[in-house]
Amino acid sequence: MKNQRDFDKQSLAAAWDDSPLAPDAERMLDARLRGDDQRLVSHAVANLEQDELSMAWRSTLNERLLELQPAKRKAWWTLAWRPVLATGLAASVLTIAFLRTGPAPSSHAESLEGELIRIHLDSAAALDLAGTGLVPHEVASARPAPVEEELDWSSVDLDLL
Amino acid sequence: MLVMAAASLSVTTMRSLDRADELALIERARRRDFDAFGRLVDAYQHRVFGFAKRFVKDREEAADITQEVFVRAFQNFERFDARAPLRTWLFRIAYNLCVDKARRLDRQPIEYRIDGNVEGEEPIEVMDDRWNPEAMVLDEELLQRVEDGIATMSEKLRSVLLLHDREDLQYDEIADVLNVPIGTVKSRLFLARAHLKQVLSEYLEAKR
Repeated sequence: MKNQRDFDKQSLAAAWDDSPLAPDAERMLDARLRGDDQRLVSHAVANLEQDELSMAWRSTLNERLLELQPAKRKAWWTLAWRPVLATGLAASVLTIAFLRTGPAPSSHAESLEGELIRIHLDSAAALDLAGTGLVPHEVASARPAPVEEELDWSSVDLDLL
Repeated sequence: MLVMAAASLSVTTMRSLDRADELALIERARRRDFDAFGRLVDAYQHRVFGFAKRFVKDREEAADITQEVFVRAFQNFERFDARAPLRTWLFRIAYNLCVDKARRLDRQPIEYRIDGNVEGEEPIEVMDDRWNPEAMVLDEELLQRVEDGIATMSEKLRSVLLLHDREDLQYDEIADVLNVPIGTVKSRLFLARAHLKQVLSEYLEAKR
């Protein structure tokens, strides 16, 4: 570095126009930055009061961050449990329904309906074979009259005779 | 509920993290772990706010910008390269938001150019007890002058000064945040300190 003026010129150019510093100018600058007066000013800046933010500020920040927080990705088992549960419930209901109603009724079932059907079928078969037979009033009219009735002549009858 | 959550977080507030803890939290935050991200916010919120407040010079705007920094960081955390320090990434977001805000409000700071001798006034006589580091920290009025001096600085000088001397970022980190060469970072830091030294010298002279 030729002189102070050259150094000043280069330093200003570097500061304002981002011009590169020559190596010797940079070395000189490093030395000056380590000078006592520069260090004292640096010390004063370092000891400025600490700035504090309020709790309300932090609370607002937390709210904003929570709004940005994406919904947590669910594990596969947390996604699968609903359909699995639904399927299980459906299977249970079907099983219970099947057990309660039982198999389809047959002609030999022991249920009341089965018994009625069986009786009906037997009756129908007997009717086919034997016919209807005598109905009750025919049975009554076909019965021979009691002897006493034939002899039960009244005095009127006798008079007519 | 959220207030309570915030309160519980503050109990375990961490102002600083060692690198191993930070990497572990970053790894969890990448998997959208809300608590881990919250602890990173705890560690950096005040620093980001301090930077933004001194940059935009308005407390409310700075609080809004700080919130936006963490919202954007949360939204884009998977893009963050964990090999780089988290603070560099956060301050880059903060810096860009501050610049955007200043542009939108048409409040681009006036560039106070320091021409001529960049070293400014005569070197400080460090034997002078007014420049005693311990005394400087205790002098509230002097620290207010430092704040005023930072506020009257150009945005280019102010950002470098704050990131280096206040937030303890390295030259290469600042170059990364501001997207400028390292030589530019050093030059701006030198000029910023020279500007501040001038402000403080005037104050100390007046006080004598």
